[in-house]
Amino acid sequence: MSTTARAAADRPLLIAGPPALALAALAVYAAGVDGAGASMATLTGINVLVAIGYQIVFGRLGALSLAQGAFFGLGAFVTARLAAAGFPFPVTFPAAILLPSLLAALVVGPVLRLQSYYFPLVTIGLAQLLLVAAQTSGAVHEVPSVHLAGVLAIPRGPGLALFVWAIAIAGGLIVWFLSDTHFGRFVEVARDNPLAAGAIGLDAGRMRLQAFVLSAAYGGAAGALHAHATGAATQADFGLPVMTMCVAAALLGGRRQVTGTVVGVILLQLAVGALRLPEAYSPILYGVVILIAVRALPDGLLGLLERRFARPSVVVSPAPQPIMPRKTTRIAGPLLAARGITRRFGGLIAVDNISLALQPGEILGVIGPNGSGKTTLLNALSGLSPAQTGRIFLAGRDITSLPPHQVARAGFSRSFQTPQLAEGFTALDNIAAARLALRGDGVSMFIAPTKADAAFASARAEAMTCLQAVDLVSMAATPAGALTLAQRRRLEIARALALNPLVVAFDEPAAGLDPDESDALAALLQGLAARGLGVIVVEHQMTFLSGIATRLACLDAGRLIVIGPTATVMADPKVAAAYLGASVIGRGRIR
Amino acid sequence: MEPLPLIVDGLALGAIYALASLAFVLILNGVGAVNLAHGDLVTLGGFVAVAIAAWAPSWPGLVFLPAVAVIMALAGFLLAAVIPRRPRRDTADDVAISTFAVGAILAACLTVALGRQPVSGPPLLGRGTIDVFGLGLSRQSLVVILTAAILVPAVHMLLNSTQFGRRLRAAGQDPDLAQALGIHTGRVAAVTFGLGTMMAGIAGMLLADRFQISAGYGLDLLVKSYIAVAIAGWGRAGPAALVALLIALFETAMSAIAPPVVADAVVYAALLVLLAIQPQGLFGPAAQRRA
Repeated sequence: MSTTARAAADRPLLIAGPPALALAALAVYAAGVDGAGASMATLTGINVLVAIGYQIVFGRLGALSLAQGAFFGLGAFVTARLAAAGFPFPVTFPAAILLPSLLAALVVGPVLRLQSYYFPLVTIGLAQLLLVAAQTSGAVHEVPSVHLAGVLAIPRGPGLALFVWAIAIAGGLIVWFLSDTHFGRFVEVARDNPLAAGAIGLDAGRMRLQAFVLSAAYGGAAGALHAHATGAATQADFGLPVMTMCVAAALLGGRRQVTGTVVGVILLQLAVGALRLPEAYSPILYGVVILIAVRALPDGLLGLLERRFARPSVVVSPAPQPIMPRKTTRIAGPLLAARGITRRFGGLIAVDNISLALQPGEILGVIGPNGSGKTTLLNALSGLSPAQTGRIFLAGRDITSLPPHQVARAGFSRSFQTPQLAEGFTALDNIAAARLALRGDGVSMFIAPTKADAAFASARAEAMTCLQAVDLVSMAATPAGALTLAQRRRLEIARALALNPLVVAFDEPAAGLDPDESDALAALLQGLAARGLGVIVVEHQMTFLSGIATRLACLDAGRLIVIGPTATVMADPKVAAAYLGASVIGRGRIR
Repeated sequence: MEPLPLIVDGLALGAIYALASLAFVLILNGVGAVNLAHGDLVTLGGFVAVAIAAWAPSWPGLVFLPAVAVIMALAGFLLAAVIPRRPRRDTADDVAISTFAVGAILAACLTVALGRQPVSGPPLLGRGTIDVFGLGLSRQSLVVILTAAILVPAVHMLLNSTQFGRRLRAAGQDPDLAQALGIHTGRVAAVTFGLGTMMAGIAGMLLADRFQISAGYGLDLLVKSYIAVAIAGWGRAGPAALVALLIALFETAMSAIAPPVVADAVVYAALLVLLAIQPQGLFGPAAQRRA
């Protein structure tokens, strides 16, 4: 587990990236004004382009895609076929970018929400299919060099090398720009913990799609340039050399940064050149580099340098800034209303026709034996495993069929039985990300890095207020992964607060806490209710609940058997029966 | 072509796919990660068989099967030593990445050493056809089916009905807990890789016997096994073998009327549709985790 606190602004090497890229380009170019050198420089630029595209999905998103070679090959084939039909570069290039992007969206769309091991499958399946298709269609030769228009042609050699590097640098700048927008930060949350991303209202699936489509576009562009540079598109373009080079470069240089990938590509290219390695042998070198880097260089060469030379990062503790409360039009009726919700898993009815209502300022305790459906009820309310029948209203708005991130956005925040946090982020930045996410995850994510930094700074100031509320200010600069269980629970509460919720729901918040910690937690929850929030607490510990709950709901085998004032429910013989079995009805009450 | 011989060939290919997919599931269950070198290990097994058989071309291939099994098991132990054991939580899976690298190295080495030409291996028990009810059925296909028919249930029993199988699945599902229970997860991983690689190698030998193998064939074989496991239900051995068999029958039937890309595209499309509507696979996953 990485416990490095990550904040884009603290990374000097990331800032130094684009200038380094430009310098590298000039150096490679200077070394290669003669024919062989120029072609080497061209190929290096193409490799840089395909690899930084791969880094978006592999490094930033942390997903193992095996389709980058396929997108590269597709870009080459589209270019070759269109060029053979007489189309100029301004037509072929966009087409070579567009087609792989569309294919990426089409193919990966259905599996975005699935577990991580389906992602390599779907991407390698696509790679295999395109390879077979290329074998069937046959190679295309005599692809011309780049023709910008009828007259303006760029011959192969130094001119093409410069042109390719211009595109590679533009590509690098785009990725660098994106990584410093809100999008870049949100993607890091999604990589670190998809559940945490959903909990702050981010659609991790959609970000995965965006990143994957973007990487496909880079693959297509690089393939197109490769077809122009080599004059051919063959099935070898789909093969191992490109794919293994992308993985090896990201691992060698450092998968987290664009700069790392560029460094990796250039080092590998130099090694291939120095060893005079024919292309067929290159996957052997790349494979060996991957095996070594996985074990010895967890964050790549750049990570190594950063750790060696990084100055101790300045502890960020901005002055707390108050959070403006959510603007809501008060409506008559309860804050949260569930009507007849049911959730089945195959033949098992985990939640059976449950209706309940929650008023502002109320703490509703949900009790019941293990397996009675408490957590499933929470999951149904928060959209994690949606109710199959029934309706759920939050402040009058129907949230029944909303996905988890939209439920969070609508004002229903929840915690998890095992706290779900972005472990590599500091406590402060976990909350700041939530504040940022509240500003929207649409087009507004893609704002200029300077504006993004300003927004992040003010989000951090607001986050301090939330940390104050849960008494975690002293831990602001500690990575979430290094906090104690009690602190992690409190951080989840702070995160819930940051989202300006109407209702907060907790899943066994007192489990594993010592008496002092659980008293502090009880006081915190009462504080939330006193602010006018609706609070739901799923809990086993009666002593904890009896002290704070205004009402209790008892579940048994998926059904709501009793709901009412705490004392009444605790004295109810049906509750004792649910916990202890039917034979003890009437013999006493539970404590 | 007559339908019955085509079906027998399809069953032979299916038996090989089934055996290969079991090897894939075995490593998946024992190590908890996808083995992306799987397809190249299958082709390696085929090439090993071809190389050994070259020493005594007149002998039946069945004699060499133990030697192929031993060599491939040793290769599996070597693989276990090269692959890092524990994946990191916050990155793309390092175990899968390492197996990908091993597969790439293998494929490139085989290509460089032997070229891209497809080759055939030694027939297990002679070539030619056997006359069954007046139909000439491939003797090789029948022997391949028979061999796989013995090995597939054996592996299934090993996984599901033995103490070793339970240890193996425990080690793959939750290494920490397995270790706490006194299971030496490192040793289990080594044995798993050894067994899995051995089975992949035998599948390769059978493939080289009745059909052909080439250095670039690994990707195709990997995808077939991977898809079979995803369609069947993650980590399910028996259903994966069954789905692999069905994929082979479908492929064989399609090969009579269309180029391979069509059959591959249909199987891939079926996978995407299934993942969209029934992501747990047809038979559900072998183990479920609670959130």
